[in-house]
Amino acid sequence: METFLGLFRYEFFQNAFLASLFAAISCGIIGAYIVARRIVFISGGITHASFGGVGLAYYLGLNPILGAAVFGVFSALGIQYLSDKGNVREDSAIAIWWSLGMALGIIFVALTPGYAPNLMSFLFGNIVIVSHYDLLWMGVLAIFTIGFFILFFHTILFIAFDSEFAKANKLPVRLFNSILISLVALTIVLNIKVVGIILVISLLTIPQVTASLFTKDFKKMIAGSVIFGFIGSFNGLILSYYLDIPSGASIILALVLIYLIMWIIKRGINWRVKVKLEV
Amino acid sequence: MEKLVEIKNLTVAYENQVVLENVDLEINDLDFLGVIGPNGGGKTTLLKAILGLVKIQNGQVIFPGHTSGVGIVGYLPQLQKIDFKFPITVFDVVRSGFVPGKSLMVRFSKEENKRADQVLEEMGIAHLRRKPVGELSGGQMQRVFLCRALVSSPRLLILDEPNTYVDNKFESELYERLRELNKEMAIVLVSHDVGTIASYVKTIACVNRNLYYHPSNIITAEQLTSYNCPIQLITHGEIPHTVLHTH
Repeated sequence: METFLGLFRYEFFQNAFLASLFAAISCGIIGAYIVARRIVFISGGITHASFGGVGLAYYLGLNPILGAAVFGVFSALGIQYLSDKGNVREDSAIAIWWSLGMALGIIFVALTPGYAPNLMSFLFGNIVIVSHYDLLWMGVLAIFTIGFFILFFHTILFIAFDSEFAKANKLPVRLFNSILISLVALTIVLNIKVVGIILVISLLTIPQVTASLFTKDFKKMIAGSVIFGFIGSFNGLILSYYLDIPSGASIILALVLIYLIMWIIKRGINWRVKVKLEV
Repeated sequence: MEKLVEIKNLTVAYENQVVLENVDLEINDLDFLGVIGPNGGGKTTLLKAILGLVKIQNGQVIFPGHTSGVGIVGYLPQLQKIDFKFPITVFDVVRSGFVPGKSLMVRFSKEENKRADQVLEEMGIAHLRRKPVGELSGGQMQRVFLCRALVSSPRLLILDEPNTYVDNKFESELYERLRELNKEMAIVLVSHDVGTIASYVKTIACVNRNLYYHPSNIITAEQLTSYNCPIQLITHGEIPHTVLHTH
């Protein structure tokens, strides 16, 4: 067995390491927003709708990530528009869009003549085949997301918490919601390569739930999510290498294990505090 | 007396259903107006029209000397619509009251942080400063939102049903505090609990699609009927002739 640090000699491992770092940053920040605003289901809909774009791009001979990005952003803005109007039963509309996207993707891929693309890597992800091109965009997204949240943190927070109050104070509620839901879509699409369409929602929720064991402050929740997300995806990557199992699944497993460990630690802290108080 | 808000011939409709029709109202400095009326009669819509939150079909809401109510008006919304589990601290909720007049890259000055702490102190909840809103009781939540409305020292304070979620003790405390605040600012208070607010407000507006302004806090059942303002009256024993009266 190779030494752990020796792995960094390999280019694929360097790339995978950077991918897990960028994924942890964008998913940590955007996931905290998703969890705080309770739009996990909407995010699931965007994720699966984007598969339609993957299929269409294959059919047209374009980059599948580009197709997924276009589909993802449009479905995100569409869902946002419908919920703004408020006259559609939002959850059923999302469910239709969710399955329609998947169906379109499968149909387009089936119609594509000749080369049959590796669908498995889109459904379940593979962090070790992330390309330089993917990595570049993941890095750009991570940096943009950090910048956007640092510059506009309070505006984002106040609009997400009480949009009516924000509207009354003439904050650009619709503009910010549109930018943020587009960021949600881009984060999902660019991280599909890492854990796949089926599993990407976990990168957006498990680190956040872990962080919220320790804090109920949005800013700290973001920081905690990034840290737990990075520990999880990096350890998942190692696990995947040594046990020779798919990286997407091993990352999710690592994230859940971290959650369980943190839950036990939290219980331990609470129990000790309780004992102290009683003594 | 300085005029703060002037509503002229206001009509508001949701999907072809008219909620407010040809409403006229003036709110002057140091007014204390109680807004009463049946559920669905348009009380909240009237407030939202003042705050610029609903589309106006016809008429105007004017803030003499200002382009909008931003920075002049402090608002305490109904708390049902607030997500109590949202990860935000009490201190940040209160500071969000400073948003009017700031750029989108919100930063808070030392004075503003001090002012936020001062308001929390005055409301008796300074110890809750770092708590997430999810850990508060209904009464504490109301206080936090009142702090948010007051932190920017508004000229007009608007409260929508502030007595939901709270116990009787806090309710009377709240009304006493409003009486104090009324020495410095105008107050508009929406309530379904006519009997309780009557002794605190100075004037009454009955809202039921139309608005009838009643320039006193004593109102009789006959007047309510003539104002087309059927409201459930909580009475004890004999139904009194005068339903609202200074206690």
